[in-house]
Amino acid sequence: MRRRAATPPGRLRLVSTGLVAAIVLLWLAAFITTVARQRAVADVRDTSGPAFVAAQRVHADLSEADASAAAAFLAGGVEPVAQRQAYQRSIAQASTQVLQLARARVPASVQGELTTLAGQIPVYTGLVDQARADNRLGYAVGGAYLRQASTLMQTTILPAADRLAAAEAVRVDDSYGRATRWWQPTLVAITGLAALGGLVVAQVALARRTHRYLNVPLVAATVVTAVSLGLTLAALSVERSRLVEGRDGGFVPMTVVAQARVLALRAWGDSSLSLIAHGDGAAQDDDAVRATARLGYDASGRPTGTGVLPAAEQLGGPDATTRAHLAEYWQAYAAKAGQIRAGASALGGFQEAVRLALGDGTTAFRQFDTAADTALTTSQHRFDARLTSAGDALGGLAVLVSVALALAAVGVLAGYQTRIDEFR
Amino acid sequence: MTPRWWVPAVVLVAMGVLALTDPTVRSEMPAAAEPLTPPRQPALAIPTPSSRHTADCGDLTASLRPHTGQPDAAPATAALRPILDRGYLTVAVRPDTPPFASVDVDTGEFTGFEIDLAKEIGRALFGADGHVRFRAVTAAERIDVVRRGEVDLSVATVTVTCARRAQVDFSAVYYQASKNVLVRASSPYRSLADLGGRRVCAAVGTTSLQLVVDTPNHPVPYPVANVTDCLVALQQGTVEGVVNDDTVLAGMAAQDPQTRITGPKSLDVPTAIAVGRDHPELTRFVNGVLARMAADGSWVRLYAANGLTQVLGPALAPPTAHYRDR
Repeated sequence: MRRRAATPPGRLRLVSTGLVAAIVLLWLAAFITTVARQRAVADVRDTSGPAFVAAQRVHADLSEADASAAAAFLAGGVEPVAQRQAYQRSIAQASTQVLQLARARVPASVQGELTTLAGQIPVYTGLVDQARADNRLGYAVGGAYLRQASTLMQTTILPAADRLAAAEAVRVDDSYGRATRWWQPTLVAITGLAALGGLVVAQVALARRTHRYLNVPLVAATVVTAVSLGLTLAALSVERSRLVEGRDGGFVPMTVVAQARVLALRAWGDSSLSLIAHGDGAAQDDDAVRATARLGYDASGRPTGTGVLPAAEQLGGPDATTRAHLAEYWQAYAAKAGQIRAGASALGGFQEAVRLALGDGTTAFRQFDTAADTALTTSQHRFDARLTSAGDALGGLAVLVSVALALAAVGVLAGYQTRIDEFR
Repeated sequence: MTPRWWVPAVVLVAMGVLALTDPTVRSEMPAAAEPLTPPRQPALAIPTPSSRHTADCGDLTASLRPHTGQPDAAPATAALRPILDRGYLTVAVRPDTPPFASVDVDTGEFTGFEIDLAKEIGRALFGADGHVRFRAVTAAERIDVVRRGEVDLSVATVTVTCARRAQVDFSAVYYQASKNVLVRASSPYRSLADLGGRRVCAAVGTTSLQLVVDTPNHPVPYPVANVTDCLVALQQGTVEGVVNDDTVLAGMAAQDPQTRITGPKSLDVPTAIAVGRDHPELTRFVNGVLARMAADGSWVRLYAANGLTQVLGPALAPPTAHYRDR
């Protein structure tokens, strides 16, 4: 080394090796960062994101099935076709989502929860159908089967879906972290600035020594390196901001609206079960009050200002209009629900209350539910689209940077070689 | 040479700027999405075995003597005034014990022998139909709702016991039932004595669950909240038998031909209406209605009209009323 550095061509060779090494370091930083982020974005786009959406959908679909089963039971021996179809559709959708979850290979820690879903949903539908058959025959035991089904749903199946969604949310968070590590662009910037600085300093030194001011291959290498650095930093920044958009405009509203829908379905199901209980529904009424409180309304229907529905409205973002009417629709339903509750306990008012629950009450609830589902789907699509475009921002970057920096390295070697050759 | 201290300084500043402008993104579940805990489930407590020296409360089934001339005379006593002013009688019934009381699946209305009994009382009190407000209760709530004054009467296959008489008053007995066991038709059991070590179902807050606990060969009690949950448990094979009054079991057997009722028809379980202890005038009034129904044949008529003949056999005479004066 020292011997080499002693001669001018040896020194030039050392400098050129150093510059190539700096370019290689930049390449390593850019390449590893890009590949790691691509993988992380692909994880959240293809695995944890869809799995989280599926877990939330399973929860909503099963809540919908349970509430529809209760409403259908309320109607008597022959249930309304619409309720029965809503129930069947929800169960079919939930089963599809379970398949989706199985394909997404949920984390080992919640494998048991997936097994619970896959194993208990058929048990649940069996109990509901038994309740339905008994109800058709006018047997009181039908009510007991429906209670057992609902208890299974509320205490076993839905908590399992909750834990699955929570585990997938952790995976989403983890992938987001891996896709946006703050030190990755820093590292790229530092190695890039080092390489560029080295190139500039080396060219100035070379110009002073040789008085040849323009070394075309070296200038080309510098430009290519600068462009590579700029492109990489820009792509990383675009990718990051699209992920942030996906979170704020997709993930968060989707999660909050899904929760609003689940709470609303729970309150609706509770009100049917309370009617079915014929005055012995204190537990169901309490539960409905708890769900309503979480939505942001007190027992008498006044907004408390805090809760899931106000949170959903305050989120803003590009799809805010899809959430604008949720609170209004909910209040319309809640007014009907209060009317139904009051009517059911009035003397001789039961049948009228059931008619109201199955008519206007259901219509009002469906209006809320449909709006919530639309808001949910819109946010879900936005989440999906932003994840895809975040991945696109990095598409081809690794190859481009590799080729460009390889050319830069060749330029450095070529530029110095002409100077070294002059010593011969 | 220029001082080189600025190199690490520039690097640090660059790192700081990037860390501030592009920090790592977190995407945690929003706080609003915290799941709501599952609905609370009823507590299913198994009672302790009764002590051998059960409290003696004299003539168990003796109830307050009705006033003569009632109920034909308008019951204008001050004690009944609040009920009349209110405009309706509140009655706790069980929604799942056909043919005594159940909910008609199609109309959502209560129906059964006990419902008709309550309607007779309401008609006698108000002189017209439609003045009875029913409220479904579980076995465990039957006594408490009367004790707390939430309802006027509990007509819900309540067995008269000394322990319960300490909490509520009872009307004259309107039905003598037998404690029996419902088993699957194919099973060999003939009575509770054959079910030692087997799981046997009964609702919380019933004398039936107490009986299971007290049976010497130790059947394993399987408590449930609603009595019909026992039929579900029997159909699902969770339990081997269901203990209850033959009246309740008959209704279950009618819902499942693959079951049968077994045990002696001992007719030693007095069933009466629970009334608040602070409403002796209401108890007397109810007893007047019951006595009239026994005398004019309406008891037998309601027995047949509600299909009790099919499930419990032809009507015997209504139980003879025992009275006390205070």
